[in-house]
This record gives sequence, C-alpha cells and structure tokens, in this order.
Amino acid sequence: MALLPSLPAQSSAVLTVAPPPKIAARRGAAVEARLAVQLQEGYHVNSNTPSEDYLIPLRLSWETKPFDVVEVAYPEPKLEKYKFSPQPLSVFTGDFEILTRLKAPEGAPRGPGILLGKLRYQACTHNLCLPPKTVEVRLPYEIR
Amino acid sequence: MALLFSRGMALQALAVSLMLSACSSGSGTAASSVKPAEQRRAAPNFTLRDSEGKLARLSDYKGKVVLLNFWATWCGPCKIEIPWFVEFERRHKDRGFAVLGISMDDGWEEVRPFLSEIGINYRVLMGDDMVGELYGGVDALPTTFLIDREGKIASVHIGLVSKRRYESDVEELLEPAAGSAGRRAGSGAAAVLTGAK
Repeated sequence: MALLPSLPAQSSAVLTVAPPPKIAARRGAAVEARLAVQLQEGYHVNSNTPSEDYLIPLRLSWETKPFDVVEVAYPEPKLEKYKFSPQPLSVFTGDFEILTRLKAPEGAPRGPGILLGKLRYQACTHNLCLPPKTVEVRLPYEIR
Repeated sequence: MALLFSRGMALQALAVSLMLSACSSGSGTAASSVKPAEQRRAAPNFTLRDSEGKLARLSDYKGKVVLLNFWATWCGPCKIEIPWFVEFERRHKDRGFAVLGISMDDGWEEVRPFLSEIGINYRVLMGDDMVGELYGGVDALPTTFLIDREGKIASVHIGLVSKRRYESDVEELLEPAAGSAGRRAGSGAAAVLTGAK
C-alpha cells in the first residue's frame, strides 16, 4: 500500500503535537497510539487532573468511529509551585507523551483512514495565562 | 453580550497595538510606568454588558482614572491581582477612580459564583475576542490598562506585576499636579473618548 503523505506538525501557539505515526490494527484486537506533545519552555499546562477546580484540564478526545477508545493514558503529572498559587499545581511541562489504547471492532471496515482527535489545553507561565485552546490531531491508521 | 463598534475603532485598535509594544511591562519594580501625556493614545470605547445585564460604556467613565483589567476565572495570576483591585476601588473611588473588570470567560455561568466568592466591589463586564482585538489583541491574561482622566491609556501591564507598581501608577494618575492634570496642559488635547456612539 502506498504511504500516506507525511503530515505537518499539529500545533497551536505554545503547544505542538508531532504527527502521530500510522497505526496498524487487526479487527478485534487492541492497538496503541502514542501522541508526542511538546510545550514551549517556560510554559506549563494543567494536567488531566488539575489541583484546583477552576483550572482547565488537558484532555485528549477521539472520534468514536471506527475504533473503540479503550483508554487514554496521560503521563504522571508534576507538582510544581508557582508564585500565583499557594499550593503546588499538577501540571505537564516540556515534552510528554499521551498513550491511547484503541480497539478495532470485528465488523470495522478494512483499509486506511484518519482518526480525528482533539487535544484541549490551557497554558500558563509563572505570571500569565493564555486562553484555552484545542489542537486537532490526525492519526493515520490501517485496519486489516 | 453586546459590543458596539463605531467608526475609527479599527484605527484606534491599531494605535493601541503599536503602543503595547512601547509601554507594556512585566517586571515587579515599584517605579511608575505611566507614560508622558503626549505619548498616550485614546482608549478605544466599547459597550459591554455587566453581570446584571446592564450596558456599560467606557465613555461613561469619562473624567475618571480607570483601571481596566482583562481577566478570566481559569487564570491563576489574575486571582492574585483581583483583591488588590478590590482594595484600590475601596480606597480611591471617591477620588475619581474606578476599576472595570472585563472577563474573558465564555459566559456568566462561571463568572457569577466567582464574583460572590471573592466579593468584587467593582463593575465586571463580559468581554469577547472583539474587545480584546480592540485593545491590541489581548491574549495573555491578566492584561491591565490604566486610563487617565482624559480617556487615554497611560500604562499597560501584561501578566502579573507587583501591587506597588499599580499603586504607584494609580497615585500618579490621581495626583492633580503631577498626574494627568499637570500633563494635560502639555498635551494640548481635549478630553476625548472617541468612538462613542
């Protein structure tokens, strides 16, 4: 099968998502997709489990078809202290990876495709915050 | 939420944008960052709704020193500054001073509980991207403009800065001799808040 054209990095301001490598899935079997995220130095994003109710969590969501999303596994967050918060905050910084476990149902159509996902995040530095943003993620796949 | 634009606002937004690069500050020293009167540009007028649904215009505050603070409930650094602004409003409101908060949240649902929780004693308006663009593309929060009695932007602070710096700026603008009144003579400009309908 011909290779899909390489995809540009998917980015939004201070956060960049590397184009995820193509996954090959067998019908009825689970498969993992790794999403490499790079955050500009000096910034942090709230983890998927923020320390405070008012903070907006990082969240990766996927279209449901043709795969079943078994699990989205986030990295272990860091607890960091910032001058605007009396308590350490649960954050991600630098480069990190989000793992998604997918399963192609028995009846899933064979062939290639692109699974669409959305990564929502909200970034801050030690003294300012940027509005929440959403990066569209395109995961190439082939179901055999 | 309403935002009413008038002629010339695009040019004003451009002017503010250019000015941002010249007078924004992020450090924490207490030295005043108020610009000389002749270098100040008119603050773009806007009309937005407050938490009670009433329309508020910047031009309503003509003749007052206004601290215009862009913030959001999800912004940690903003929450450090807000109690300072509550204090400034209480201390200086009888001297022709007003704080105006512009929330950049998605709606009042998130904001109203916060207003009660913090006990905000000044007017808070619901902003949007358009008013942000009008002020040079407000993206980073907090962003705060200090507007003099003539409706001109005297200083801009992007990000969390020290309380002392705000105090210094506010005092300078409220002080009749050294502040805007003294500078007014040099500027030769009439009191303006252009763009008001």
